[in-house]
Amino acid sequence: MIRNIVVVACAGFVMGCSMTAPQYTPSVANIGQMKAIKLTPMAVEKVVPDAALGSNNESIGLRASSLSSPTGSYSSYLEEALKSEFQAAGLLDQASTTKLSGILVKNDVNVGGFSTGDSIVEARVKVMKAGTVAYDKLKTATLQFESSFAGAVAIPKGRDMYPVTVQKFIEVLISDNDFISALK
Amino acid sequence: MNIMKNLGIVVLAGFLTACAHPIVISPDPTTLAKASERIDRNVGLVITQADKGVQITTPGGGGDNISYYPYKDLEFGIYSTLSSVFSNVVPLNALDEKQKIAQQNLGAIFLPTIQTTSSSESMFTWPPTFFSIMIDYRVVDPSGEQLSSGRVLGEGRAEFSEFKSDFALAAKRAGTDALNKLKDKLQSSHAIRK
Repeated sequence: MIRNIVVVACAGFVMGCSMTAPQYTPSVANIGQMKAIKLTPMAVEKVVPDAALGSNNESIGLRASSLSSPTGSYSSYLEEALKSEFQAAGLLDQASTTKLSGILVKNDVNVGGFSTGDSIVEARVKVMKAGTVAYDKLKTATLQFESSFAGAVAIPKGRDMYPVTVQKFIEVLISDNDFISALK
Repeated sequence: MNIMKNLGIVVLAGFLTACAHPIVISPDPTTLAKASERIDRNVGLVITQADKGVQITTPGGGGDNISYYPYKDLEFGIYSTLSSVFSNVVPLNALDEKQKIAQQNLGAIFLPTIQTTSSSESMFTWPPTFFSIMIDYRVVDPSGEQLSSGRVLGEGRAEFSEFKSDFALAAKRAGTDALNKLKDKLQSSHAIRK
């Protein structure tokens, strides 16, 4: 009897539960890169979900579990991530006439595989400089990572890879020469 | 029927035991204390790509282990702590980036070494209830001469009722404790102000 209770309790730990994605931590490599290229400080405005994104703006399925955003939605997660990353690099100025906004188009983590998982964050980023469009491009970050058949390993791994995918998205953005030119 | 049930239990137990559960030990940046004043100095922080790839496995509860990347997970916390103490912090991939060190006019370079331990009193749940993070550091000048060194030990504890929504809570608390102690230690060091 006790053994069965233990099994059920443990199963509850890995299956069918709702989890929250980790709070975003800025990437030191991204901060170093932004400091080195000396971009213009900018205001980060709203990141909104694309109409086709559907429920993946609120929750991502990880096998039988679901992963929700600690900020209420994944579009606001990306917005807060951009703010915290630019702030850590000394580039956030909410009073600036250079304004960045975005539309989250794709947002997913897949841990359905037995040995590998993958994730994607795709968003259209727009930079307005004194009222005119200086940059408007769709940027995509994808990751592949080691996963497992065991849900106890695969599900937390998928959860932990979400903020890493967002870091990669910001890396892709700040490595785009058009983005750098728009903010010089 | 009993055989099937027991087999199911064994298979499930096999999934739940003898594996290393991945966790991220990055402390919540909002829990890191700010220094009361900034030292006007350009400082480098060296965490190499090799360091960031180091994966550590330590005990959790119920006979399971946990695994994590201490340098990768604590990198932003260390950077943030140094940024709170010094006016400008520049990430470096290695101590031999002489050109970057000269261009950025770095007067001191911070070299951390991280060691961790973990444990759990629980027989039934894998997340650690205790975690410790020890950061040994050296501060050297651009020629490699040592200016200062030190060690801080951070400890964190978390009970089941707390960590059920954050399996790495004890580790995150240990990170916050270690980094806040590091901030105090660096702030009071006269050698790195010169």
